[in-house]
Amino acid sequence: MRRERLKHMKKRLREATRAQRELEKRMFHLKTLYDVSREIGSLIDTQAIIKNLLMMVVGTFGVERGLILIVEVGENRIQTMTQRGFDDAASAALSQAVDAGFPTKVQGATGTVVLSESDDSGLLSSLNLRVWIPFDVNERLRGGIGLGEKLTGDPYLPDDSELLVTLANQAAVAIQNATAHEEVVRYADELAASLRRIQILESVRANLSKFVPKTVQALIEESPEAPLLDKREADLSVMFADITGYSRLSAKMDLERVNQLVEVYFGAFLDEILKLGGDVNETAGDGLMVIFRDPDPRRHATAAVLAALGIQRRTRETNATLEGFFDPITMHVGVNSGIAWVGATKIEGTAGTRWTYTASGPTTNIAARLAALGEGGSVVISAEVRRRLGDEFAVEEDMGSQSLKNVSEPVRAYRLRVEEREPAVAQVLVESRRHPRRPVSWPIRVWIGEDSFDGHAVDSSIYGICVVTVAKDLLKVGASYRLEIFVGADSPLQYTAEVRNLSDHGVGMKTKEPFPLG
Amino acid sequence: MAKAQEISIRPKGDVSVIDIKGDVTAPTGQPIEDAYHQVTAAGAKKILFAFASDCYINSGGIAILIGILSESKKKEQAVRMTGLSAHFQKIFAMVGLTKYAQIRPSEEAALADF
Repeated sequence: MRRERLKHMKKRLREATRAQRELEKRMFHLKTLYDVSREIGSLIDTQAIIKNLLMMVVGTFGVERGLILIVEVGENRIQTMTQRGFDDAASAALSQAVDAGFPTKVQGATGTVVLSESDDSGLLSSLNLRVWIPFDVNERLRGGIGLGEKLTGDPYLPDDSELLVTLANQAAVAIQNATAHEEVVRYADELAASLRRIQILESVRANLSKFVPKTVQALIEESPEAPLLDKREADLSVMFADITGYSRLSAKMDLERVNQLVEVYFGAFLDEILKLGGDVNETAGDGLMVIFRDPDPRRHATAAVLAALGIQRRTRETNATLEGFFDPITMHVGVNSGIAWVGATKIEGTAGTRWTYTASGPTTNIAARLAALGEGGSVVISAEVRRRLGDEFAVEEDMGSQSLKNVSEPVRAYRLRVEEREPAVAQVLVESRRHPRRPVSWPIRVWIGEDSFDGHAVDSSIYGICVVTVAKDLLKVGASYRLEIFVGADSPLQYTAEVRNLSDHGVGMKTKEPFPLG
Repeated sequence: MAKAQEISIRPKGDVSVIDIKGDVTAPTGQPIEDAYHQVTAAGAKKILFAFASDCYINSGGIAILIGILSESKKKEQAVRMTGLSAHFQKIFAMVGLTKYAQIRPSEEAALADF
């Protein structure tokens, strides 16, 4: 009886010891799960994640040899891999396995694969692996954990598989997070690079704008791939201004001082020109050619004359400021209005091609000759300009008909009175230039009652537009019409626009709603 | 909270004793591997890993030890371990580490056993 009880107690003791060992093992596994989630959960690098995981797995199951790899689905390619305990021979076997399509095989594996010596795939067993646990990271990536024989020589049991699958799933989540993080970092890097490129382009644009006429800048911004630079007839005003006796000045002063002088005066002139919407088309040492455009032919002539008077005023002011440093200078200024060919001229040479954007023709030529007619400090205008200006500006002298070089017909010229004070019209023009116009090429439709007339817009500001349409003769200044603008494939943009002026150039219209790219 | 690791080497007769204090984990395993390689390079054939009583060893740390013991086996070095708590002695036995390195209850016992 006592013997029986002793036997029974021994059995209970063995069971208790086994239970105790099982409990210790479970605790160790739980601790591993905790450590894995803590250590790899915060990692943002896939390689570091699988390396840490492999260490945990190798230590938990007591194996010398282990492998974790991530393959790209659909390709026989390993994206990331880590191994432990592979000697040279095993590494060579792994390379051969990869060549033989191992990654493709990995993609196809499902569930926990416990391998035997007679594993017919040959691939995993050639690496001396005993168990293979595949896992999905995402649609693009698939992974697997391979482990060699346990140090204890024990087989892998279902409990082991359960733990391995749990660890693999944790790894998959961590790799998903890391992949997402890597993508965010990559996007951030790309964004930073793009911003840098934009900054460089902005810098280039800012520097180029010093040399490229404003009209050309607007055309290139509107149509960067194929700027609308083709020549077309346009009604405009041209102003020429040059320094009296520039050659004599250059001979008297060193070039650096001459350059300083030109920069100071022309800087002041530029303010006058830009505030009136002028576009500096050419600069040539001592001279400027400036183009003024507006749907209203009277407005651009007025702007050009105001800029001319402004140049003379700024010359006097700058002379006074620089008294004692430089001898005073005087400026010749001439203004003409009319039709000119505006657009790009291509100059092709053997060494390359250069484009210039200018207004050419008799209108421009006459403006240049008129500038030369006057004495220093005067503004000379043509009869056409005077006709457009009306009585807004006082004429000092009717210079009569002048024969100008390379101009077939004599041109009547007038010398304007150069006032100390700007005429009131200047302020009005400057105000309107707060919303500068830019060339556009939008198809439009104007509705007059139930009838519609197609045409196209040639330039636009934020609230103003100049359109060319066959309906011009039917439109009335001061009346409002429905205007549709086709700027994309979608429905046209709808406006109610008031006709402000009618000219050969087109129909000037105003709206209360801003235009798309104005 | 992780305990700071401290690894030191001291000769004890013909035995190289590697003292280990603090946490033994995968991220902190490098100094132990370095110490092992240092004594190996010096020609050590008998090595004793002496763990401090408050050492914490996780599965990553065990992986480090497996790597070291696997190498020591190839190099025919005799390795012993001491200072391990009862819990870690069971864990080491469970994962098969004791096949490579026997655990002794004290440094004296380990030294006497080589």
